Amino acid sequence: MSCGTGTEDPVDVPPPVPAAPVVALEPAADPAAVARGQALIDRFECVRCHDIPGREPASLEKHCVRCHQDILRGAFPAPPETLREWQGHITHLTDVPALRGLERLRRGWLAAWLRAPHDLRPGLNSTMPRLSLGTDEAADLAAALIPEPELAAPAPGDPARGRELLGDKSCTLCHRFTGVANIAPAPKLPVPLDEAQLQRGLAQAPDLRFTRERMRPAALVAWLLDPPRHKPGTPMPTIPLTDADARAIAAYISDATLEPLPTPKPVARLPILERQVRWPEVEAKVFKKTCWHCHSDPDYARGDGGPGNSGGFGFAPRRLDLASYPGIASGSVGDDGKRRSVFAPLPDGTPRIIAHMLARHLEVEGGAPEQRGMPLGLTPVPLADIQLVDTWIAQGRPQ
Amino acid sequence: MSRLALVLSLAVTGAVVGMPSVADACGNSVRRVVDRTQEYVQKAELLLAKGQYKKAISTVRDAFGDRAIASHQGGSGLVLHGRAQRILALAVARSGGDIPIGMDLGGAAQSRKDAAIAWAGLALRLQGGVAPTPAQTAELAEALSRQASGRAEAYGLLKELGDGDLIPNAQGWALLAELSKQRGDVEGSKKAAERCRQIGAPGVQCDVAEQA
Repeated sequence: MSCGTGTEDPVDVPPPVPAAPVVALEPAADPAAVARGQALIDRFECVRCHDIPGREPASLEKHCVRCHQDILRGAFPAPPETLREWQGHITHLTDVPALRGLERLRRGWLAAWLRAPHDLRPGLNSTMPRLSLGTDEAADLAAALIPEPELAAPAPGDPARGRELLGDKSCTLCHRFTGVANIAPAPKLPVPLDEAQLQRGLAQAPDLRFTRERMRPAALVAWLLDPPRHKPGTPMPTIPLTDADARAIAAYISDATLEPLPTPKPVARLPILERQVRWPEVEAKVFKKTCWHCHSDPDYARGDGGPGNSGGFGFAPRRLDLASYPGIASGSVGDDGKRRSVFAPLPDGTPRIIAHMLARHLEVEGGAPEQRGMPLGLTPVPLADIQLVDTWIAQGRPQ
Repeated sequence: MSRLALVLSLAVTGAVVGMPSVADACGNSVRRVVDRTQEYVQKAELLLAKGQYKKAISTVRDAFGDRAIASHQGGSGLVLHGRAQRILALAVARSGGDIPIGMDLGGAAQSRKDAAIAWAGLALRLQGGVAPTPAQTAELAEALSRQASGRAEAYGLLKELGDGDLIPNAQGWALLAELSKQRGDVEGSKKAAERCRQIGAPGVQCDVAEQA
């Protein structure tokens, strides 16, 4: 009997298993924080966009997604010609992830992300909006959404094999993995998907770059083995994987060396135009395109005037109406309860309303500017259109 | 005068409740009732914006009759009633009370003009409530400025809005220019007239103040 490992006495020794990094497991959330967080779910009106188990969704006129979905499938109560017109306009908020199976996520990550959300799902053209919440509130919300303790991490898998599997199983058909060398998906899907599921998958698939900080390691492996078991209705299919396969994919996603994120591009405010810009142009190209959905006068629109007027998503009522000339000229209500002009220059000379639109570009670039980016969580207003508004303001806002 | 208007307003409140609107007139046959009140109100708002006060008033009266003069009596239609009343009040203020709006308010006689303008001021003040928007404040100032006793208040309201760059339209700036001139504030009048000209709203006479 020999225990030598020399060439004369070859023994099939498995490679040493690298020790898993010691990361403190998240305990069950503090019940008091969970209770506070449940109240915050109401205050921030999470059900206006997300399905949350055990909670009634918002009514249709207040739901940011169902209204659009109903319009797109022709079920919204409006005349057919109106529906056809609206259907041609809708590009945003046609799908959002349901808040189910969140125990797979790290509570600490969620709290930080809620404070400064970045683009997690590149296939969606809207992102989680930057809400008005403090560090403690974010922690309480995360506690309410993820009260469960974290389970111990499984043994690490083979990252090289994991990289192969990401291609072989066509994971990268839906998922981007920024920061690693491109992984081409296999031409044939490992499981059949209908068109609707594929489209939802393409839209909702998160960028795998963020998974290492976002998901709990044990939950990641379990998720890979059977996603619908953890989140019924998820577009992520159950792909045939062995336990070793799942651990290998998890290892690569968690440990692959990442290229640094690109440096945020500076956002340039374009110069004032020489030509005259009047209200009908900025109304059509900017304010009546997106802004008025959340900032309108409840007396002249369906519903309550939107969260940017009568309050919502945790925001105080700002009474801002961007749907008409007198409305926008009437300004908004500031933190002190007094009306203020939305054209008043901030200390750097930028009109407030321009600063908010530029801030959205900065948010998309990964920044968290002092002014909240507008439109909230949506595609930024093109710089050329901001230039139009800037010019209109500089010219005295001709009607 | 505002006391007279208050009395008028309260009196008509009781008198006109229950009068049929256009949308109610469906007879006894079984048919679908389509409430077109909103269309009437929208049309009247456009006419008001174009300065066609007589037509605006007529359109409101087609839909509401004297009910637009009274306070809303509860139930549905509060918002549309408020919009209709605003149209009447502004049409009165901008026409100087020349056009009859019903309930003996407005017309050729000076007393009817005065009563209509007093009613318009009261209606706009009640609509604004305790936290009026700048648009509501500027419209109230328009009505107040039509009475000698209301000009000081109108000036104060517009001056405060103007200092915060919150006057919502060219009419408001033109009126501030005029009221400033009347008070001897030549610089203030010039600035307000210049803002009015920058806005360049068709049909608004920004230079009135300088001629006053």
